[in-house]
Amino acid sequence: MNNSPPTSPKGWRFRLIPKGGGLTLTALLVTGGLSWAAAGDGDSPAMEQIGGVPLWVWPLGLFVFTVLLGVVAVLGGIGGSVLFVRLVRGVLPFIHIDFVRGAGLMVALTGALSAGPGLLSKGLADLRLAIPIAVITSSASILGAMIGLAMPAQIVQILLGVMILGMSVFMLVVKTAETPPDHPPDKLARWLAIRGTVYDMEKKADVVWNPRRMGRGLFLFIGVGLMAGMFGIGAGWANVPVLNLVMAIPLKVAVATSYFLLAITDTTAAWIYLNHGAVLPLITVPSVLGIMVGARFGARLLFLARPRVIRRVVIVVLLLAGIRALMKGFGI
Amino acid sequence: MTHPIETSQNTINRRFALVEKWGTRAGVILALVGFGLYIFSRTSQYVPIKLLASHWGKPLPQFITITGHPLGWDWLPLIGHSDIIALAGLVLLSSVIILAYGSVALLYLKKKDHLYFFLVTLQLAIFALAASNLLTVNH
Repeated sequence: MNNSPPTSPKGWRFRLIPKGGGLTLTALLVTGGLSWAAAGDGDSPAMEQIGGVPLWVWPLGLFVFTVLLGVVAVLGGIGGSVLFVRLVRGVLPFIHIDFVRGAGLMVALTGALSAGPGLLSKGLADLRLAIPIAVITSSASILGAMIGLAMPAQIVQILLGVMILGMSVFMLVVKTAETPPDHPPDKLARWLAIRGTVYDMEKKADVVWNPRRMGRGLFLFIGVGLMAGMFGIGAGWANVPVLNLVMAIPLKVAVATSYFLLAITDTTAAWIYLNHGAVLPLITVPSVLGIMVGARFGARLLFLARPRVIRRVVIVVLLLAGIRALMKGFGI
Repeated sequence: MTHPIETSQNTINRRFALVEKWGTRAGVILALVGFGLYIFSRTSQYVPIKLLASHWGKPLPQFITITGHPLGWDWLPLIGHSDIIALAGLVLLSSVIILAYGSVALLYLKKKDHLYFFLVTLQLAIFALAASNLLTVNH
């Protein structure tokens, strides 16, 4: 899958369908099929009445919703699973939060898997850096998923609200560094032989980067893994600052490696949810397809939209979603 | 000048990316085929849609007791059912990274990078623990 955006808005206009051809065609087939079922003789399972409306409305609604979510997530620079869990709970409150978190994890995992090959092939994601971090985050995410599944839903709601509010404030205040200042590698980085090069836009040349404060960074990743497992989220918003600000990894490498880490953390947590029967295909499959289609459109729209404005909108939505989750947790 | 680690990393990155790309495609297609059958054909459903949607608001243990939705690897003998085919697609998506790790483990061993071979093997053990259904949660 080629996730690289086209070179101009003009290119976007002409390449929108052909570049994402297979996926767009599949999406059209699914929506077309659901519509066909809706127009059928009434014997199809898709015509069952669920909550007063035909069944086909729910997956189609989820698909359309996650397409929009995928666009917003890419433009806002987030994974989308936090918004997914919170907003789907808002729109479909009759579905238990365990199933929504299970679907949210699969959504985050599929998004990361779709972006991964391109980032690795282009040399942006660093496997050597990611592998030791992944051991830490995936172990912590197993623990987090077990804690999340064992806790009463009300407590999860409250903690989710606190986490989302904290995340939106964090997104407002945190500053990243495109290329952190040059420095020698620390002991742990030397032992693991982690180093790399990245193209610096200002210097117009490849610059060598070395990680530092590896020990502190790895410790912080325990917390990131716990959150990812507990709430069924990717926690990419936390990966990037730890990599960039604490471990002094250049921003481009940090973002790309974060996507790689998301896939690993989410894989571990997804297995816990799968084994506990918390992944329902009826909810998850349309959501996974929707986020993939939406992310492709979002990548193309990056040329036309103003990411800073979108990011602010995402922060406001997150603030509202966090307040709503807290209110729900406290039974208000 | 090209650093030897960087050169071997490129080979390993490419192998990882290849497995990730094709594994993701296969998982999504399988999930979509199962989902399509589940929605459009009444005969092949393991958990009927009506039953599932009547109870998807209940806590997990209750939901499982009522619907019989498979736990752990219990889905494997039920693979002929449409909803289980869709579930298998999602299981494959959850296995893509494990397959990719497996594919690069041998490359690290071949390149005598013992530290990273150990880390990759450790990661595979963590994945196996998560996938084994040995870790259970009391609600």
